[in-house]
Amino acid sequence: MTTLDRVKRVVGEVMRVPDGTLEITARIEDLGESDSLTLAEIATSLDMEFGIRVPSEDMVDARSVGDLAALVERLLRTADSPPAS
Amino acid sequence: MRSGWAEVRYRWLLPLARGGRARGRAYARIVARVERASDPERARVASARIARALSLDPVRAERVYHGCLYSEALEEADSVFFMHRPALDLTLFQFDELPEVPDGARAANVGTIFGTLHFGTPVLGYLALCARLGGGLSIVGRPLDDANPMPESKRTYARAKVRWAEQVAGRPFIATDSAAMAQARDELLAGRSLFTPIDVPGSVARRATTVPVFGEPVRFACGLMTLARLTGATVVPVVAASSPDGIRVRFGQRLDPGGGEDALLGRALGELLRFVRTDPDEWWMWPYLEPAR
Repeated sequence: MTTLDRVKRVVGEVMRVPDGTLEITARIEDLGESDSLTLAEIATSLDMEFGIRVPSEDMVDARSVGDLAALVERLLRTADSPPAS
Repeated sequence: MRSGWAEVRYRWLLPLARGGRARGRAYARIVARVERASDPERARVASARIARALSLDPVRAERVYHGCLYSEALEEADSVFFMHRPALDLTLFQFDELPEVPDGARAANVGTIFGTLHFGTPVLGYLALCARLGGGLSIVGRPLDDANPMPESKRTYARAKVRWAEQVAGRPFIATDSAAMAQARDELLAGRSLFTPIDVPGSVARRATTVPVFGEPVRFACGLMTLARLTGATVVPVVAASSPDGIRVRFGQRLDPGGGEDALLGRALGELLRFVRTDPDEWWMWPYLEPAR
């Protein structure tokens, strides 16, 4: 499973979007009912999925699922430890 | 609040509190009388709620309501008094013992969420706790933007108070939008702590839950409890209240975030309502509680 697929799954679970329906261009704020804690929830789920710490300032800049996947890949490259598989 | 009275209150009367705490108490007495007389319907609803909640007769319930108006005004006066001193005089603060951090939270280096009420003098309690902890404590508060319905004269006072509090604490207020909540998560995961009111009416937040307040189901915002779940932060209930001798800071039991945010908010408010039962006239929220439908 690619990073993008895993990010899609994480975002889909947090936003309660049916499996397989998320596009790479999907904007987080357009997915279901988001509120001020949605970003923090997604960040926490990404932390757990990939074994990294996603900083808030990077999350705020990531507007779409594709942006999030790119962010995770960048964090994985710079992380000291290998990603969880 | 009528804008004419708000102008008199915040522009002309409140600055008198700079001159000493006795003047601040005089300010609070005047404000409580005017506020009580200016909104009889609010007084009736609040007094009836207090009477039901605490099994008080109507006369005593009205006194408690008058006391909560006095407490809110005294908080403003105390704030103005301290804002015009060169430094926060910590000898005026008495602290109860702070509950120990459990081993798990210490090992994970996660911060604490200090949950408070609109009770007594919360901002001074925050600043004193900040000094006591040696920093690393941020306050979460609703921004003073145009969506905040307070009159302009009060907003001017509140902005000055926020600037002062930020300067004393050495940390900016954390707002309640998405970016701020993501930042709050970072703070907790980095081992720093948050101070936040948890008796915020449910109507101002998307995440809300119902918690019994002395038997009456009431809606409260519960987003900060979500942050506890996401980060594993423990919650420490805290209140600070003023007396002529100083300001006392009291803590409830430290609460583990397990069991879901609704239950956690219920436990935290349960701890805090013990302080309300002891000093009901320090809780400003009696008139503003939103019964669950």
